[in-house]
Amino acid sequence: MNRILERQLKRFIGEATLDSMPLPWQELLTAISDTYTHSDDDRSLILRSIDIASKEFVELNKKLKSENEIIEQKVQDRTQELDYERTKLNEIAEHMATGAILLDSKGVVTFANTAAKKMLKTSDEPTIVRTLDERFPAFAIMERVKQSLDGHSSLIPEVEMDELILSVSFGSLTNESRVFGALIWLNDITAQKMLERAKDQFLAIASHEMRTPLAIIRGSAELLLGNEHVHADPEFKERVEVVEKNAVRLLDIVNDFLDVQNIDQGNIPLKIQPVDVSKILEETCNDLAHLAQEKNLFLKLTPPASPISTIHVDPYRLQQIFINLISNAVHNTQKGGITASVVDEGGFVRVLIEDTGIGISTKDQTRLFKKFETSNTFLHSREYGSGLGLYISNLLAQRMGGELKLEKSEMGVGSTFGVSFPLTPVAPAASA
Amino acid sequence: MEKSNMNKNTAALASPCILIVDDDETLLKIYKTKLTQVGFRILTAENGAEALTVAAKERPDLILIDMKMPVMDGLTAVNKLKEDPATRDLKVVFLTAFSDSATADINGNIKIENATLGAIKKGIGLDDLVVEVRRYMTK
Repeated sequence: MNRILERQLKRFIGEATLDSMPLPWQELLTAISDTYTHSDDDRSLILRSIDIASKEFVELNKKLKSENEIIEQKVQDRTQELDYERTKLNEIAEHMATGAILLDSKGVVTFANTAAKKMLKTSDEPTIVRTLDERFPAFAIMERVKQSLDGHSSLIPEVEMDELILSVSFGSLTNESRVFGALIWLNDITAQKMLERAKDQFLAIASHEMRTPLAIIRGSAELLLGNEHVHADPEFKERVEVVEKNAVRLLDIVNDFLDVQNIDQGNIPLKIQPVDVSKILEETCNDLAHLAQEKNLFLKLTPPASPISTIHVDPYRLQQIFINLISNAVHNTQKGGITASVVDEGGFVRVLIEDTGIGISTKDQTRLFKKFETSNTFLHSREYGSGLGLYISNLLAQRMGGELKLEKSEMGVGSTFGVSFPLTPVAPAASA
Repeated sequence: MEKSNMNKNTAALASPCILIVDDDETLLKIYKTKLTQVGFRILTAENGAEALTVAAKERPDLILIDMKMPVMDGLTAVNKLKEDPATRDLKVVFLTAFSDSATADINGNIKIENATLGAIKKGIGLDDLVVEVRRYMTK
């Protein structure tokens, strides 16, 4: 019997034994005793559970605590990082040569860097955009800000601000395609514009002031060459020829520079008309035959295998391209010669100028049609002209709907340039 | 003025006459020498105003005129020549210091229609100058 029950029984009914009781009592007490015993077992089980749970709780608490510490450290690190990033961005923005103005979604200025304030000569951030707007009403600054907030960027390429020339661009600040502000960039392009103006001025001077003296040198040399005394003295004659030839060279260079300026500015009216390419190519070859002869080179025109269709271009410009290509070929060739040919490719007419010259290195091939780059590489190799010939020819061909390209080139073997024009007429330039 | 009168007196009157207008004396002299050598009678003027007087008086067969000159520039002078019924029919060709392409386009940029026959680029070879002058004379 359960000991607690035994003690309780002893207290109430004394030293009676279970066997002395009537049977139903015996059964009842046995049942009660079993319940007591079960209850004891349950209690000890609960106690053990509590004990385990409490131990686990302590462990968990410890773990939480340490994790908390890690998180706290991480937050601290991140804040520091953000602080650093913010300082970094701020420093960059402040020290940038470009002026930067930020506006929020309501168009209120939230930031303007030192450069912006310096360019617009104000230290007052909130009114900086309004100052700009009032200064240049024609550029509709506020309207552009509004457009930026609608997601449309814009650019004012040139604004003269006292002694400064600025370009002003407007953009939107977006986050996942939602516009949350506008950004105004101010670029100081004074130096660049001044250089451009100086260049234009120089070219104008070159045009009017160099032409006349060069014409005088050339003319004088030519008059001397027509003089019988000069003719009688081979050395004298040769010297005068050198003067004449170099005056012509300089005139060509001046001409190239002026042409480049004209073409770059789009000032080349084209007189588009039906043109017989073969005829112009033949004329050009005849005109330049003396160049090849002087260097003991052949300059031959391969007759076309089939009739050549008429193309629609400006004949004067077409001849200019041919002259450039052929004289380039002559100047880059020491042995052999130049072969010109024209093929009707059905839909296209292609003219090929093939030489047996020095060839063009792979490195130079990539910059062949670039302005001035060409002149550097070519000036070294051929000691002739401005070297702008290919740049000009390429632009001219493009303006007339054609294409100029280096078909092939091998060092020491030669180069082939090809210029092709479509048979379909190209609309003449508006100014023509 | 004096110079042009002298030219008239010394040159053969039957030869075709050309008036060259340029403010550069040396260039004038070179062109005059060459064109005289090939049989033209040459008159010269150093600016547009002078050119108008000589042109009205001498009625040259061809006028070669520079664009940029002191006192009166070439464009103004040509406009005045064309306004005056007495000189309207004279043949005028510009002498220019522009680039090849600009020279080729020059007639497209002149306000008065058919004011000039065309343009000759300064720096052209003297033999080519003669060819061009003869071509313009027959136009």
